[in-house]
Amino acid sequence: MTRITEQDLILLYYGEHDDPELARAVAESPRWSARFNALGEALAAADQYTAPERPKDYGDRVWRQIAPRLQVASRPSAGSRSRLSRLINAPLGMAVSLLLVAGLAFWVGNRIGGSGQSPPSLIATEPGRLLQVRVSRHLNDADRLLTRLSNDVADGESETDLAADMLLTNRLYRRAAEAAGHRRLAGLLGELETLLLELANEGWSSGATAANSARALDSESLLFKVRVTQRKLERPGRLAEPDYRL
Amino acid sequence: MQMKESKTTDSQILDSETIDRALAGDRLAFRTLVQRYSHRAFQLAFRIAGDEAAAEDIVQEAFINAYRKLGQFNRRSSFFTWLHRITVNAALDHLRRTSRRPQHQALEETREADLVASVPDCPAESVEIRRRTRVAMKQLTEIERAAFTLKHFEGHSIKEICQLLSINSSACKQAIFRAVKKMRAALAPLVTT
Repeated sequence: MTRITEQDLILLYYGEHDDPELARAVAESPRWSARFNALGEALAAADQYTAPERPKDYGDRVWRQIAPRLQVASRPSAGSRSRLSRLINAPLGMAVSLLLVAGLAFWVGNRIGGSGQSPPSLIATEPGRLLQVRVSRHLNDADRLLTRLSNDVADGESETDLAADMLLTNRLYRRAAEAAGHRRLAGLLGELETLLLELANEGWSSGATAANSARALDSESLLFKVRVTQRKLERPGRLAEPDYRL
Repeated sequence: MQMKESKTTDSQILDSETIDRALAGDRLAFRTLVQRYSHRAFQLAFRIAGDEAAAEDIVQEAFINAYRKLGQFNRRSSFFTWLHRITVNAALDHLRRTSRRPQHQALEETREADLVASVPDCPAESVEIRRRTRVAMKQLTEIERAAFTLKHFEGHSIKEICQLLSINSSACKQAIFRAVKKMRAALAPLVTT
């Protein structure tokens, strides 16, 4: 990756960039990470563009306005799709499904019985070392957050702020991990992202609520995985796929 | 999570039964669908059209088109996914038919500002962000607003947006880039740039 542009960052933000190396390159560069986060912040602010509220009976109002026009509109008919198209579509759909299943089975077979090559490691190469350190720090923050949640000592506001701060970086690291074929790390960051998103959007309400209890449980199980991965990341050299089995 | 999935399934089953009744000639069944999805359709129409009155017209047009084409709904997706596409098309038709009226723009912006400021319990900074996003959205060209809405708010892929807007991938990306640039410029004093 020679030169990164703002347009690259926009495509990366929306998950539309063709170059799988971009996420990693951005994650490794403090300058581009900062720009990516600034872009994310601006686009998150754009989310406040919502439509003005409609009254509760808006649906009734729409109905009253369109009902006279429906009388003159042609009546909907179940027979609009021809029998021929249905006959064609059914076997075609089944054939496509069978091909997909066969393809998947072939792929799985190759993975299991194949050459045994592991996916390229996100952090195996020397330039990846910087990213390793950054992901490790990120997981350290996650560890602190999850510990507070699972011990139920969260005060709400600070956890919500921390979750919002971590969200974009987490997304960036997840994409970098996906692009590098590091599925388990990407999966872990994906789980973390779900929790961060919930916390950032809904917060941690004070007192024991069902949502809090569920999140505390999730946090506890996630915390274990985060610590295992973090320990592996802190070791110098290649990151093996973390094994969560006991 | 499981409960959410089960709810979705229930809602789809409910929709499917309602559609069966509508196809059998029960007009009141279609009314149920209108009541159920008008708010979401309005949200989408407003984001693309950028105007309340236009959005209301688009919602009506979308439901009338949905009623006419109900027999073609193949039920491989949810009813709202199907209605969503019809609403997007109705909004794009509306944009193509109407031209901007600059003489009304200042008045509209004042009304928008009043509307935003009237939101209760809204911190001043948040009010300002809302105002700026609304003004920025209004300043986008129709194609920029449609492409940005479909990408940012509705989560369509660029490929899908190209099909919906009948433009090529490069034009679609450029429309999104320009929209993001304008949006960032409008929000610059309030968020990090």
